[in-house]
Order: sequence, then C-alpha cells, then structure tokens
Amino acid sequence: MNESPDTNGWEDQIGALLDGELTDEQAISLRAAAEHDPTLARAIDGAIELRQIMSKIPAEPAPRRLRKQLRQIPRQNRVVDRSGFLQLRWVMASATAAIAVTIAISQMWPQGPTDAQITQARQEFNLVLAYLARANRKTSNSIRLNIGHGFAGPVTKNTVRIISNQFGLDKE
Amino acid sequence: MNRWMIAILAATLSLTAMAQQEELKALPGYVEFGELSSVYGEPKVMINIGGTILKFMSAATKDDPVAAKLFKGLQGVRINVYSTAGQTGPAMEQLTKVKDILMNDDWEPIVQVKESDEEVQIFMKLDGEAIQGLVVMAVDGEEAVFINILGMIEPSQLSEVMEKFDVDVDL
Repeated sequence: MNESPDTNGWEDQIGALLDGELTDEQAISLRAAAEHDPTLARAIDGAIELRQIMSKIPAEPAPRRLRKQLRQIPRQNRVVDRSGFLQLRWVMASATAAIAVTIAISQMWPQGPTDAQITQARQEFNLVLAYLARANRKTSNSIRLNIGHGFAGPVTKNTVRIISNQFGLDKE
Repeated sequence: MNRWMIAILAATLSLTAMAQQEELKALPGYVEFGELSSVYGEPKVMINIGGTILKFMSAATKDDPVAAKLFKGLQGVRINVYSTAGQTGPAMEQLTKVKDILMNDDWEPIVQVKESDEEVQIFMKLDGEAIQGLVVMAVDGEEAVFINILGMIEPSQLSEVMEKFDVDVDL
C-alpha cells in the first residue's frame, strides 16, 4: 500500500472538518495538504461520502462521546499498526457496518415501512395474485376440458332431450 | 463511493431480504421449493413479503374491509418464477419432489392437473378448519411458478380480493 504515513495525523482534523470545528486557516491548510497528498484527499472524500450516507439514514446520530471514542481507537493502536489510513478505513468500515445494521433494523422494525414500501409490497402482492389467477385459469380450463370429454356430452344431450320433450319439439 | 462501503450496504439489503425469508421459515405453512437457479438462472420474479409489511398493508386498506381482513390473516407471501424456455424437465422434477414432501407432511392436494407439457398442483395445509398455508406450483414450457401463501387464508376472501384488485396482469 502506498498510503502516506502522515495520514494518522489528519484523522482528527478530518473529523473536525466535517463537524465544522476547524478554523478557516486550519481548513485551508488541510485542503492544501490534500492537493499534494492523494491518500489524504481520498480519506477526506471517503469521510464526506460516509457523512452523506449517514445523513440520509432516519436514525438518531450516535452520541458525540461514542463518536469521539471511535475516532480514538486508531490512535490507541498507532504503535502496533503504522498504516494510519488503514485504521481510518476500519473506523469507517465499523461506522458503515453500524449504519448497515441501522438500515436493516429500520426496514424490519414495525414503525418502519414507508408509504412507498407499502405501495411496492401491494404491487408485488398483486403480481402474486395475477400468477394465482393464471394458475386458476389453467386448472379451470382443464376441468372444463375434462367435463367436456367425459360428462358434457351426455349432460347436454340429456338436457336437449328433456327440453325437446317439454316443448314437444321432437314431434315436429 | 469506495467498493467496501458499497459491499457492506449491498450486503445489508440482502440481509434484510434474508431476514424476511428466515422470519417466514419458522411458520408451519412455509414450504422449501429448492434450488432451480443452477438450471434456469436467477428467478425472473422472486418476492418475499413478510408478516410485518402485510400488517401495514392491512392498516393501509381500512377502506376495503375484505382486503384488510385478508392481509391481517396473512403471515407471508412468497413467489419464485423461472423461465423454462421449453425445458420443463428439471422444473417438473422439482415439482414432483416438493409434491412428495407435501404429501408426507399432511398437506391436502386440492387441484392436480397433469398434461404432457404442463402441470399444476395446488395444496393446502390445514390446522383443524383453519388454513395455515397454500402452495401453488405450475410448470409449462414458458415458466415454472412456485407460490407459497402463509397464514390464515379464507379462499373466499382471496378470490374476492382477486376480483377487486386489477390482477389481470399480462404475464
């Protein structure tokens, strides 16, 4: 991997940038550094994308203290693992996994389905009913065919005979 | 977006679908239709509607008491449809396997139509007088359809809802 070993030092600043906690000078300095450091630029882009995804999730944000603790995890392991960007990735991966679980729960939880989801389920249900109707048509056609070959002839012949007798048609 | 993020989010969505499938598997009316993807490729229609969303559908159709009652009783609706493209053998084989399982598991055969190029089987699972599940399997030269409806089903309600809904979709 060709990540910059300096990326470790930027983690807090990226977090602070997204939280709007950097001064103008610090923000300009960070952006200037990103122009010369593709790894840093990717880290910022990734963090922004993640923040955008999180903003679309209908869930309460994690407590500030927890986010701070998450940001501190790579720092605690810095001595063991020097690939700082990799650590940032794992923090982001953990956060994304947490978002994923939130999405899954919000989709399954009783308070969850939106009008659009209910409408879609209704359309899907209609499609199932359409297939049921088609199977029903096939079976009823088959039954009609069987009746036609087996019973329909005698039944219709008898009916015609009875009606004919009633009205004396066979005498004419 | 980074690939790993997409992978995690995609995995989440399939996890949700799998969770619905798992929720349905625990019900007595659930039937495992087996795997036909290796022969026909991915199903052209695959729907799993879980009990939770059906309850919301029931609440959303309060103006239609019959449909609302039907949705309320249902616990799940599943359908798998494969394109057979004239190759009905594997689907017929699968249908026979499922049919044998159902017969051994006290499902009642309701309608069976067997012709040279097509077969339809309809089974019901009864618990006393209540229906716990309905299975419809239909195979012909065009497609193989496997439907499993779970929950308390009143056939009269089902047909009434079918008449009310515009279900005459050109399939």
